[in-house]
Formats: sequence, C-alpha cells, structure tokens
Amino acid sequence: MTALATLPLAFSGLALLSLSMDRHVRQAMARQHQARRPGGWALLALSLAAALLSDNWRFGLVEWTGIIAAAAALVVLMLTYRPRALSAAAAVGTVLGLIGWAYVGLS
Amino acid sequence: MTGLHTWSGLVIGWLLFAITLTGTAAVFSSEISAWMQPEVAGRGEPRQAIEKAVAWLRQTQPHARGWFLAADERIATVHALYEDRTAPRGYRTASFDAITDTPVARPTMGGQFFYRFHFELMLPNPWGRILTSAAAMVMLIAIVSGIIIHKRIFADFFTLRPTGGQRGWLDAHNVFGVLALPFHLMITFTGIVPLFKTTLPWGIVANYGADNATALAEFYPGLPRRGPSGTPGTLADIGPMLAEAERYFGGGRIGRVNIAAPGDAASIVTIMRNDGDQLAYMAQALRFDGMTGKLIGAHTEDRPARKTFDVLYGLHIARFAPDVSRWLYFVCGLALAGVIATGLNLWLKAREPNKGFGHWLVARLNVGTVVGLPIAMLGFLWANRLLPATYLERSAAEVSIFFWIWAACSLYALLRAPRRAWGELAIVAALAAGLLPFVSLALTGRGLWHAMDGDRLFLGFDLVLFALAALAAVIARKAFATSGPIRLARKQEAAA
Repeated sequence: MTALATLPLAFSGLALLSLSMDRHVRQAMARQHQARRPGGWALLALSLAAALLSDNWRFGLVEWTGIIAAAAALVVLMLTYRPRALSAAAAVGTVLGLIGWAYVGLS
Repeated sequence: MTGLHTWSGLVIGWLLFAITLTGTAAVFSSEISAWMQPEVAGRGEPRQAIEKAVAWLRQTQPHARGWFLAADERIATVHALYEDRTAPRGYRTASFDAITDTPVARPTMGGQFFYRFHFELMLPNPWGRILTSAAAMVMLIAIVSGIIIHKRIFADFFTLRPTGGQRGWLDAHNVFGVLALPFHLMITFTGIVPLFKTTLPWGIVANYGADNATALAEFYPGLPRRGPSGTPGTLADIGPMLAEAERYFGGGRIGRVNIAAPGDAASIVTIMRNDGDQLAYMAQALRFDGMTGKLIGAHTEDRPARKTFDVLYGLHIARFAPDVSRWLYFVCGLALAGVIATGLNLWLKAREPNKGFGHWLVARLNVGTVVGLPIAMLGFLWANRLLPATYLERSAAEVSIFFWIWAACSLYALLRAPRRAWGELAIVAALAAGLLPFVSLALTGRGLWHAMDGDRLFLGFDLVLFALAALAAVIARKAFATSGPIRLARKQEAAA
C-alpha cells in the first residue's frame, strides 16, 4: 500500500506547483509565494522516492505514473470546485503522506 | 497538424471508444468472470482446483486433443477449456475451485468477452486484429499530433472551465488527455506491440518462410514439440508435477497448465508460471512427459529481445498489477475513453450550427457509441443473470444479446434528435447499472449486503455499478438541462 505515501505527497506537490501559477493563485484567492515551485517539485520527488523504495521498484514505478495522474485530477477538480481549500489541502496531504510513508515503512 | 489530429481522431473515434472501454473493463476480467459465475466462489488453493479439473476431465473428456487450464491470477478459480465438436465454436469451458467435483457454474465467456472483444472485436481472424492494430496506430498518430498542436500544455495543465460551451469541452479533452498522458502513450504503444505477428509479419516471413512451426517453437521454447503417437496411454498423477513446478518457480504460483493429447502415450504436460507474478508475460515454463510425469524440459525466458517484448506485453495486459495499480489502470482507461468521447463531441461543437449530413451523422453515431456501448455491456451482464443457468448455449447467447442491444441503441440514436437521445439513453444506462445489483442479489443470493461475511468481490462490483449509475444520471440531467423545453422557453423570453 505504497499509495498511502505516494498519492498524498504527489497531490500536495502538484497542488503547490499549480499554486505557483498566477492564474490559479487568483482562483484560490491565495498570495503568491516563491517557495511553492521548488517545494512542489520536492514533494513530487519525495513521492517518487517512496514509490521506488517500495518492495518492488518496478511495480512501484508503474504505479507511480498512474498515481500522479490521479493526484493531478484531484488538484484540477479542487481548483474548479473548491479552489480556496487547496492550499490547506496541500498541507494536510503532506502530513498524511509522511504518516502514510511511516506506516508503510514500519509494517 | 490540427487537421491530422481532428480527422485521424474522428475516423476511428467510435471504434477506439469501443476498444478502450472494453479494454478498461477487461482490467477486471477476473472479477467479472467470478461475478458472472456465482456458483464457483473461488474457495481453497488454486493447486487443488487444478487437480479437481484434471480429475473431472480425465473422467469425461479422455479423448480430447488437449485440455487447457488457466488458473486465475487473483481468484482461486481454474477455467478449463477443451475441444467439443458439438459446441458452436468447437470448444467448451468449465470452471473449478478446490471443492468442485463436477463443474456446476453456468457457461459464460465472463470477463474474457471484454478481453477478446478488445482486440478481436468478435470478427473472424485476422480481421479483428488487423482492425484493432490499425486503430491503435492511428491513435498513436492522434496522441502525438495532439501533443504538438496543444501549445499550452503546461500553462493549461490544471485548467478546467466547465462552461458547457466549446471552451469547457476543450478543457475537459485536454485535462483527460494531458494528466494521464504517460498512461495513454504507454497503453497505445504496448497495444500495438503484441499484435506484431499480424501487422508486421515480414520479419518472420524473411527468416522462416512458411515454416510457422519452427518460428513458433523458437518464439515459445517452453511449448511442447511432439505430436500424439496414436498409441493410447494413461496420464500420470498431476499432483507431483505441480509440486515440482512450484519448486522450480521458487515460490512463484502456477498459471496455466496445458495437457496435449491427454489420452495418448506421447502426451505432454506444460506448466507455466502465473502472469500475476512479474511484469513480463509468460516468464517460465516446464514440460513433463504425460505418461511418466518426468520433467523433460524447463525454460526461463532470458533472451533480451523476447524479454523486452514480454515486459511491453505484460505492461499492457497488467496481469501483474496489484490492487492499487489495477484501479489506476481502470481510472486511466476511463480517462482515455473520456478523451475520445470529448474529442468526438468537440468535432461537433466546433462546427455548430451546422445542418450538413456529416454533422447529422456524427452527432448520432456519437450517441449510439458513447451511451449505446455501455448499455450493451451492462446488457451482457443482465443476460448473464436472466438467461437460465442450465441453457447450454447461453455463453453464445450472452454475446448475441450484447450486439443486439448495441444495434438497437444505435438505431434509436439514428432516429431521435441527438440531445434527446443522449438524455433518454443515459437514463436507460443509469437504470441498467443501478438496478442490476438488486436483480443479481435476488437471483443469486450474493450481493453488497454480504460484504460483512467477507464477500468483497460483490461489494466492489456493486459499488462500481452504483457509481456508473450515478455518472449516467448526471449525464442525463445535463443532457436534459441543455435540450429540454425549459431552455427553449427561456430563449423565447429573451428574444421577446
């Protein structure tokens, strides 16, 4: 169940990347922040790391390419229908992803 | 480039939609098969199920030319296929689990129907395969040209403006396409590869000429190479062979067991490793002499070219995929169907208002395929529940019902105004999906309500059906909202 780590981390990473773009910052009524873009890439990299460090990295990599599609779809849906909640959701996703990673790693 | 994208997409759009949607359903072909045969519950170990199947075939089909047993990757059920000249297609199937002595499960193609339709379209060989390969190649052209003409991939990456107009449809087309682009490219490319023997036979012809047998033997070294001797023989006990195969696979599971000429002195038992164990398809195979049960050949695929092919093929059919990956294949497959459906609709939107025959026809073919096909697929499941379980030719009847329903929906879509047909057929789809769990529960006694007892298969199946019903209901509402008399009245008010 690596997805417990990869999905929330990928979601948060892509959410931050979307919020580094002016159009979506306006949608989310947030303020622009310079750290969002590197932060987004870092979370995406963390998500990929979680996928590659799973029991079978080959399966992990295939699954991850699907995970980022699903995560991006969630970001798009939130930007369209719940834009203001996106930055909070990104924070929650980061925490959940790290907890999920710890859970997957320990079990 | 825009023209290439538009026209390559339109010409094969309907065919591709059908290929994509049945392929997406085939991701869960094991589960669909298990749902369509509620009499076998997949109890016990697959190995015992194989032994049960062999025992039954020994009793009832000793003179068949071959028995082909396939252990499901995910459900402890074994499907046996054997020659029977009285059957319409020349063979019959029977399904077993560890406690089946005599197969009682209703005959059905199960999830194999969607799998087969996906690349053979139920057309005579090789036409279905040629058509699906051609469609996949054109789809690759459509995807690549789509990437080239989409100038703002990154700027519009997260953009969806659900306006209902052309803008909204284009956004949806782009979002479905771009977000799952790695999947779309992978599934299209790996979809072309497995059919290379049909589409690019010249490599084989140049090297082997007409000697198909040698080509096959070198491509599949694990398969038997001797024919029947003509002298009757008795098949040895299968149990020790299965045990030896499991030892050889090193903890891997048994996938398929082919028994060639079971009643002959030269019979051969081939045991192949389960495709669910690794990315590659058909990785290991063992051959046993049927009479003595002695190992006569073992093959582990490690030739680089074959391995590359097997991994590409394996990526496409996703037999390896654990639960989460499997659902992602399913969701990405639906996204691809979404790309095609929104693309077909965009062709219309970009040409409105238009009274031409092309526009008239495309609008109607869209409804007949995009809503008609899912109704036909649901009809296939309904037929499985409603046809009598004892009706011997029910397997073929289920398939015929699928095609009749699809034809009926397409005809209805031709005769009715498209906006009306959208809404009306979507309501039919919603009812077909939403009521099926109840009908199935009444007829089989298995359903959502038994999830507490560990019947997770029906839980998942019913939840997906309810989700599809909800989706169809939303589509129906939207269709009626844009076509109903209310909107016409508003327009007249605005004009006045």
